[in-house]
Amino acid sequence: MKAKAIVIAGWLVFSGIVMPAVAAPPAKLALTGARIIPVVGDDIPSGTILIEHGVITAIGEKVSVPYDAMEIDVSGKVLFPGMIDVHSSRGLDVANENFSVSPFLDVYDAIDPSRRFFENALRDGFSAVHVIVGNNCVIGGLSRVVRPIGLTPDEMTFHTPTALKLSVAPKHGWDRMRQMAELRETFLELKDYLGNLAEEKYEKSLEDKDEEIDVGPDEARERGEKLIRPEDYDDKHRNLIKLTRGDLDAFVYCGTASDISRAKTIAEENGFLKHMTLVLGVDCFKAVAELKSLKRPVVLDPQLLYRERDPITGKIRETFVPKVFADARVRFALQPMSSGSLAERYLNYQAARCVRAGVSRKKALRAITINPAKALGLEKRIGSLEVGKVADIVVFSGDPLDFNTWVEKVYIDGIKAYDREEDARLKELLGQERNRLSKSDKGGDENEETEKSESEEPAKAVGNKQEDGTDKKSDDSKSTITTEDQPSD
Amino acid sequence: MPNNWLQIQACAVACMWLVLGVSDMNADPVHAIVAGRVVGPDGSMLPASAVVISNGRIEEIVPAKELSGSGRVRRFPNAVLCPGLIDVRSSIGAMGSNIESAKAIDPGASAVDVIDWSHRDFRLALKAGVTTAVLAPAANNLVSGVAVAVKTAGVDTSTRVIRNDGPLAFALGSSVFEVDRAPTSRTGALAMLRGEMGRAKQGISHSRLNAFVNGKLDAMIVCEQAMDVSAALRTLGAYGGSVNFIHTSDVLDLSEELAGTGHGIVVGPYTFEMGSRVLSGAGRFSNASVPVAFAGDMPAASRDSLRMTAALAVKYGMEPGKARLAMTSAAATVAGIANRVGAIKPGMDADLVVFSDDPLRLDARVLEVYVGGQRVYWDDGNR
Amino acid sequence: MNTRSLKRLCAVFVGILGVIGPRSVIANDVIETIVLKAGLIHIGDGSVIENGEVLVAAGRIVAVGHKLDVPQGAKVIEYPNGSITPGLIDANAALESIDMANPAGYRLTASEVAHSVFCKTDHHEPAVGCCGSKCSRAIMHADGKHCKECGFPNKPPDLSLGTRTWHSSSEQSSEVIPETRVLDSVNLRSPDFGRLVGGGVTTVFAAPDSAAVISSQGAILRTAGSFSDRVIREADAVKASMGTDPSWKGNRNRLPFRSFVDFHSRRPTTRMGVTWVFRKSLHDTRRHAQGMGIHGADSPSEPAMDILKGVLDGRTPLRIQARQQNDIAAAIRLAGEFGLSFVLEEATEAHRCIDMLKANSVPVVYGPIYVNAPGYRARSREVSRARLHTMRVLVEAGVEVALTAQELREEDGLARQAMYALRYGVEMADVMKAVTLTPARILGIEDEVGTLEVGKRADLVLWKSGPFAATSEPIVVWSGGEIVVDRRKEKI
Repeated sequence: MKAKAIVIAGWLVFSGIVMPAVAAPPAKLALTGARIIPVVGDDIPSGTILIEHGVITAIGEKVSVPYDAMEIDVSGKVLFPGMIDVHSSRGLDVANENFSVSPFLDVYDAIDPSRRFFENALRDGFSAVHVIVGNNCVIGGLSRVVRPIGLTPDEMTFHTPTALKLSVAPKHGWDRMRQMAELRETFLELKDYLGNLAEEKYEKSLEDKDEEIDVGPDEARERGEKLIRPEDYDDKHRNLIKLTRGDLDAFVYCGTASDISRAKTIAEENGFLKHMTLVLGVDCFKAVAELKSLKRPVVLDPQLLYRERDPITGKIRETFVPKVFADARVRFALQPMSSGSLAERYLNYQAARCVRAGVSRKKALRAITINPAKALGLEKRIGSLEVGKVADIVVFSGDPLDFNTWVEKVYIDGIKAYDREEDARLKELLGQERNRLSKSDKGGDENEETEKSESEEPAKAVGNKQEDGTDKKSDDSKSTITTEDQPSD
Repeated sequence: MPNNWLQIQACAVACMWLVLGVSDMNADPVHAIVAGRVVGPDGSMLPASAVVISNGRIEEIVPAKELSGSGRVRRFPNAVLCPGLIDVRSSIGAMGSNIESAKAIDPGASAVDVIDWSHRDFRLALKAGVTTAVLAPAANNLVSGVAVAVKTAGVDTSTRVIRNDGPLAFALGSSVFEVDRAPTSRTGALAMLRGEMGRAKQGISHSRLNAFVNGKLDAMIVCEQAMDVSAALRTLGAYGGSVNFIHTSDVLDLSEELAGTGHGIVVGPYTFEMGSRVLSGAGRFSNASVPVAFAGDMPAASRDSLRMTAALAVKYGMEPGKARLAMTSAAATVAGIANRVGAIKPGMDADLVVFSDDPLRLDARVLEVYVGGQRVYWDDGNR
Repeated sequence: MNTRSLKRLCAVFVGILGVIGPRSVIANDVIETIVLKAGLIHIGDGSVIENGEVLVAAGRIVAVGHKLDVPQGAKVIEYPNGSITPGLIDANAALESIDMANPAGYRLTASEVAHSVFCKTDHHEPAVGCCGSKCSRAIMHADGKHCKECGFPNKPPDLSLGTRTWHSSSEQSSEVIPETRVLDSVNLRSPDFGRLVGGGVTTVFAAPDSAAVISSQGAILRTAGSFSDRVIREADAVKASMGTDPSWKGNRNRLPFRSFVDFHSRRPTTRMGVTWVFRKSLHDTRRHAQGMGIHGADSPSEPAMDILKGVLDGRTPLRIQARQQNDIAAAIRLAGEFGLSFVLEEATEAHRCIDMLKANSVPVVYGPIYVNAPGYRARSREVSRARLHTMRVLVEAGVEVALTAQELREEDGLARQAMYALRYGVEMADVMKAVTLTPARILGIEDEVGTLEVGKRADLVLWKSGPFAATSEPIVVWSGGEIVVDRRKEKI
């Protein structure tokens, strides 16, 4: 716990944002007086959440707060489960390795904790991010669920390994036949490898006993199978074996509706049908019946609106994808949009769009909390506010579906990881920052053009003092303040 | 000089045809053609009739049984007699390139100057039943020049030209925009056009444009998109004796806009690969009482593209009678030559095609083709 | 309202669902008297009426208030949870120029364009052809001439709104082209209008492109209704641009006969050049108007000067696009030199120019709101100081400010910009004004539209709940008393 606090403080310094160092978190914390939306279960108009050692131990209208708990009054606010970014490669420096089949890779080696993406994730109310290889692969690599805070991947890690990434949609420059051939080939080769390994093992065991081989290869393979120990598997096959034996989940990307049957076939043949989460392209809603019969979690494309041109009238037909899934009673998880939009990057706005289009509020809220948790197999630990769950809590200034609502605070493991009051970058963008930045960032390179134009403009304070004398410095030094990363891949 | 040149050329063509013996133009002129069905002036099928020809023109149409008089009579009891087809936007017989891009407003250009009278395209056109081709300068100038309407057969070039002074061709769309001269865009194009029309109204533009704004010259306007038709309607619609639009790809909503304005539209060529949105255009227009003509775009498109266009238009909702007209008299109207060709009525040129069946059927063969009463092509079973 | 009457209403409006059907003027609709009741009525000037009613007859607003005298037989449309606002007005809408890309207007995103242009095959999405139709086969345009899907000619798509500028909607043969009209490149049939009206926008100023120093004349258009009734003003304000847009967007301005592009043949490449061209054009026009001779380079053409005379006289409104603070300053300085009043567009750094704008009473059409510049702006290098509070600062300083979405047509366009403004600190009353009354005033059409006042045209929007909320959207939109969007069946 203490280590984590140091980590947080360290991270804040590292990322160049001056926030007051967070005090070591109390062992017991009570958030009181807020409206609580637990997602699972009914809303509590005004209640308390008690957190002990990072875990929610009590939640309700009336909770007796222990004498040694730190009590935080959040009345007027809304407590909501930390949201989960269920499928993101933006924490990686590059989304995809060039190898088509690379089950031996692990995002651990590429997570860049200082990416602006993580800072934004926290700012936008995410408490967990599933960092996974991009879609441009055949078999991608191991993913993990991380916290959007921490200096190293180890500090950030919440759960690993989470899943192996596969794609049935063609890798860039390939066609579907080649993609599927490669997938089939990989699993055939795996069988071959296991057989050879067993045979080898059996031969080795006889060799140790100085005996001659006594049976045919098929029998030898059967006998040798029992002799294989997990450490005998090589890197390339270890994760695939786990996958086929149900020890590892799969995130399978389907680019278009017809890919779903292909994903099903591959998963069925290789034993991971029950451990598969489908990541869908935008037009996959056309296979909603098939998806329903599969009974597997689905992650929708961040693009929620599907546009198609009517061949005769030329009119654009629009389909709001989550509505199709909601109507078909298929459980779905939403993703935030990673592009520069000021709205779709918020998962709670994605949920609000669903409500606008006629999806029930309950379903929309589940799609950004508990459903992503289920897709990750972590529904017992995160995704809702329930006793026994990890205390990942977002303090909203109002209803999560209201666009005017701000993320006030984010608690991760019961530790305050984000506080809007101390978000210097946000304040700068909103014109609320005055002195802090310019003090900390003196000596930014001088821009002649700005000098000139400044002299033309009377540098007089106006309105609510947005434009005082310090503005120039802050503008020069922070001239590229944005809340987005540069595109990475 | 030009006359001389034409004569020389005419002689050359005549000699060639004689030598090759592909035509029986020296045979006795045909007195009458009797066919099982005849495409009437309204596009419908008349019952068995005889078309009496004299001096290269149609004299009268009588029921087959009432045919009298002497002379050669050709009888096709099972065939269909149709006016010679008219390809209202083609480059049949064009010699080399007809693309000129030095000036965006070039009313002085005339398509008659690019015709190679002995071009093999004419022969191919005849095989497809096309007896009249309308050529316009390429649509890459705002004002491209005047079109020419020519017959695809005939010994004397001077008689082959039906009209060489129009209609005046305009063009709007990306083909007009160039990087190295104005206009580069729609806004620029329309501003230029408005300016030029203003000058023409004062009588200080090119004589052809002056004539156009005073309603003394008809026009055909090649439009790339539906919005170009709207823009043209706004800018040019009020002028001209007759203004027709040529536009194929995005016409569905235009039918309402053009209905009742008196302007016609030329669509085509249609192909099987086109979407239904495009193909249902002709039917939509004709149902809205907008005159429709078909362009075959020979020889760039297939030889039978006119009939294919008609067949597809019928498939997608056009009345068969209207589709037959769109290949013949409606096309003649657009080209301003309806007084000469395009219909089987007394007084018209005897440009006739004998089809083995309704020309809308793609399996109908061209049996014989007459131009000016002369048989210029016949199906010898040896295609 | 009981369900039966609701059903009856729905029956009446069958066929006008969702998108505007062309020619959907049903005579009954216009003549008929309608009473609209909603939980909240935004008048447009910032005031609201709770649980009020709006009476509409013959396409006009007849009365607004409580418990109105309702004539017998009037149709009642009641939404206690909904709200009513005037039809929104976008005073700087960059409509699809639709040069090449879209015969029927599917708008390509930059990435789609990149795909269709640069990728032979596309493996995750169906290929998007230049015509905008999605094609799962890779044979689109395979004949090299036409799209096999729709017959549309194979041409590079229009990227004037995207990342490239091969086909700007504005004329590139000169940098002073006020004689051209943006209406000529607007496709009234474009589904773009359907999207605009679907988002509650009933009137737009069709804005010219920023690729010329003095660009075309914009047009004021309705977004719905019969085509003959769409155009309010064919040629309105002339647009000028400061900054880098005229120097980098206009890369087609070359000398004739394909000469190589060098610095002699290109239009202004610097701010100095842009300012020079602007100043010289107006200077020459003034001399010309006074019958004096014109000397030197870069003189505007005769037709251009005819329009510019109107600008000098104040007959033709002037708009100047400027993003950076120094460009805003330059615009104000230049206008001052010629005694012109103008409307400032885009104004990304307006938060740094508040005093200047106030001192010169410059109205601002601000927007879109962004941090990471969308589309081509990122290339202009003028957006690094974009802030989220600019709109709020402008409102607080009392600058007359309208909000615009320009070319952005995400699900909800202008309403989304209003939603942003609310989030970033502007009061609802001010946001409402900035998308209704103020743009109407700037466009000089406030007698006709902009507020819910007696006698004005019945352009109204009925919202599912409050306007501009994330969970709300227009359910019904009226233009001139005619229903042009109706989502009641799907979204009740």
